[in-house]
Amino acid sequence: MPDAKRRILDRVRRALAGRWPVEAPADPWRPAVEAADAVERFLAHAEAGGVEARRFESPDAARAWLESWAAAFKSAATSPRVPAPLAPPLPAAPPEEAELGVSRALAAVADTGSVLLSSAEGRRLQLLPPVHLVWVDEAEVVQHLGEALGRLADDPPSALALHSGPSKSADIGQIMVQGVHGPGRLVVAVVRGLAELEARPAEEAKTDRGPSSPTPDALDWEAVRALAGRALATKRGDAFTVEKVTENTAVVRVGSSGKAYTLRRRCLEKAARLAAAGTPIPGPVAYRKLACNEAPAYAWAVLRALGRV
Amino acid sequence: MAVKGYKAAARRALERQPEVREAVTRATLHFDQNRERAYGEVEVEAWRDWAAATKRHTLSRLDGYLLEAERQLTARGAEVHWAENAEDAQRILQELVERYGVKRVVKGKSMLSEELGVNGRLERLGVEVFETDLGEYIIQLAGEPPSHIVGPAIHKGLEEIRALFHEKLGTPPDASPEELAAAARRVLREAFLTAEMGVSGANFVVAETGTVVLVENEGNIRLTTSAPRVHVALVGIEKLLPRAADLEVFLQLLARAATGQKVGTFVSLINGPRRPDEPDGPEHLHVVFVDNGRTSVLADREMHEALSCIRCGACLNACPVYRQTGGHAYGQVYSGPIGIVLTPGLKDPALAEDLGYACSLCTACADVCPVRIPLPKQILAWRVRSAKRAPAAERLAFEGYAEVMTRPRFYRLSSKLLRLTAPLTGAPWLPVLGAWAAGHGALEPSPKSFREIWEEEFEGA
Repeated sequence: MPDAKRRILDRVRRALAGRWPVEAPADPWRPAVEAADAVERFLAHAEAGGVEARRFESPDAARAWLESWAAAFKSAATSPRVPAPLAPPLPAAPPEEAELGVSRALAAVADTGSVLLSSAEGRRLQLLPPVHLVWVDEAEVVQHLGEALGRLADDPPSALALHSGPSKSADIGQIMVQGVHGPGRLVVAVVRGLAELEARPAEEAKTDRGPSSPTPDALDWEAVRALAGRALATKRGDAFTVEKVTENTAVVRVGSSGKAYTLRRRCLEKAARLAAAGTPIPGPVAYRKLACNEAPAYAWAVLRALGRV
Repeated sequence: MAVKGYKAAARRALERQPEVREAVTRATLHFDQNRERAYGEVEVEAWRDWAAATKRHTLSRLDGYLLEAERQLTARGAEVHWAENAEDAQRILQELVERYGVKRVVKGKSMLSEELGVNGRLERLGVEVFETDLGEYIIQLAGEPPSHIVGPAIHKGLEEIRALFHEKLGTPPDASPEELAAAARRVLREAFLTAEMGVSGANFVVAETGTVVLVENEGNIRLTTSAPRVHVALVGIEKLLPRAADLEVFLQLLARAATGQKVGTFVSLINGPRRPDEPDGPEHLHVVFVDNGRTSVLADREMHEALSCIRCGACLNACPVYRQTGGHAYGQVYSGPIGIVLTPGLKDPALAEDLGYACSLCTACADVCPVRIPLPKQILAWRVRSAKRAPAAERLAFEGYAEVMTRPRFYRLSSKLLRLTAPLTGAPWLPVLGAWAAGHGALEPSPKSFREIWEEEFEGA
């Protein structure tokens, strides 16, 4: 109904005619926090929201816990983003039948005790099983919601979701009931070194439970350093420059918007390793799926400039 | 034409359904205490200032932000529709139902869909409609409209819900809340997995990214927007926010104001239909931008700030009038202070003649509103407008009253007169005073006025 659109916008413009536009305010208040305490803050806030929160010093420790914990369930629906060693040793089932859903979060937020989940791994496994286990890397725990939401602007999946506790309702006489529609238990496990584990390619997810070991073929970081100052373009043709390269990150700046994005060394290395092992990474979508959801358009373009994809 | 609905409905509710007052007072006090604690944990005044300014900014450039959101949504594969009124919105839904061969619809809680009368239209088309929010499901079973923006069934106590579920779903007459919720879950889980279309509202839409944002605690909205093949989001045009970064404060402020949580348990951030490399999700996303009176409110210089409302319900919970009667007495989709201000603007200014007086002007609502809507000032402005349309006798009476109160000599004379006529003030047959007398006892003036005592005791000494 193009006429309806025109008439609505006309009425909006008439209503606003002669009024001063109101300026947007400067950045809002944020709680003061110590950089080091993000994980502790996250765990405390998640627990206050009813999350069963856990912390592991290594993937091995997480795996050891998982083996006994998962024994209580008969079947699981596991995200293809979960690295093989952290997939529960259970028969696979579709989300509408599985007793356990297992996700790999994009990030966790200390302010609110939330995990950020992507529709790229499937939405049903996050919602239908009565218990939901979410893995998150310690390095992906951020203090503020805005840091996690920054991912919205950059090539997002069709849907993101923040989960901050079990499904609950007080609609029956103000009495709190859990597990009304979504999972009645949300278990979040923060693991140091999780991102180092390889994501299992989707087609292996249903059968292969052993740790995958691609040929290590390290990315030459000096070659990345040499890109500093170079002008590159994304697959879509958006121009950007490599502004600076530090020991663990590369910072790129986009020509059109002036926005800067940080690419982590270990994400680039992971993608390079996978590509060397024969996994095709034809573009940013595959990079996001297989390596990191972190400015994939620019990360992929950097790897292409190095001839690694 | 004056509408006299609220007073009569309030009287009926208080006299015949004392259990409603009890349930509503308990629930709203609980919400309000949680809000107060949650506000105290952050620099809430700074956030309220910021959120109010951001909303005012967005509304001042609403045309641009709507077009930007449409561009972003379309670029990601969503289809955007525009509805001027309820009939438009219903027709758009009907076309989508026909296009996709829809037999079953699951719905996420949406006040806008109540406003648009969506369920009736879908049912007339032969579509089975399931409200999936537990509170909405309860009142759908009972055949009632919601009575609160956030807790649609807060007017119902456990006993009443037990009896309802026993009758409709066959649960035991003494079922626990857990058993009742499980019974609803069984019915609705089946609906989620078989419905062809999910219909939701939206808490926010981010212009910069075209993201539809939905906040909830049960997970039913995530399922509504994830499981069926088609997702339709009904969005009031005032729901826009400029940037994704703005959500940091709005998501937290909404949750703290509504229920005292840090953030809603589930927040959906929807950017488009399912992508080819994703395992599930709806194949089609339709976003309907709805006016339905909002541009009239925007054009109203005294009322436009009410479009900043984020539907947290904090003003209902704080309102001493709402706490007594609950939402149904207002007879409108939006109740409480925000309902008094929005309803006449969205529907018909004449409604203010009735609704404008469901308020004691205590200003508690202004103290809690997360986006600083000047609700008491606006309610007073509606009253001023109604007064201008009042019958001549009433207008004359109040003009005379103003004359007397602003002139010391008249005032002194009138207080003497009042002492003589006091026994009459309780008489309901007196013109104009009748309405006042119906709710008050007769006056008992002291033998001497304060001025007289002051003059005798102190000034003369």
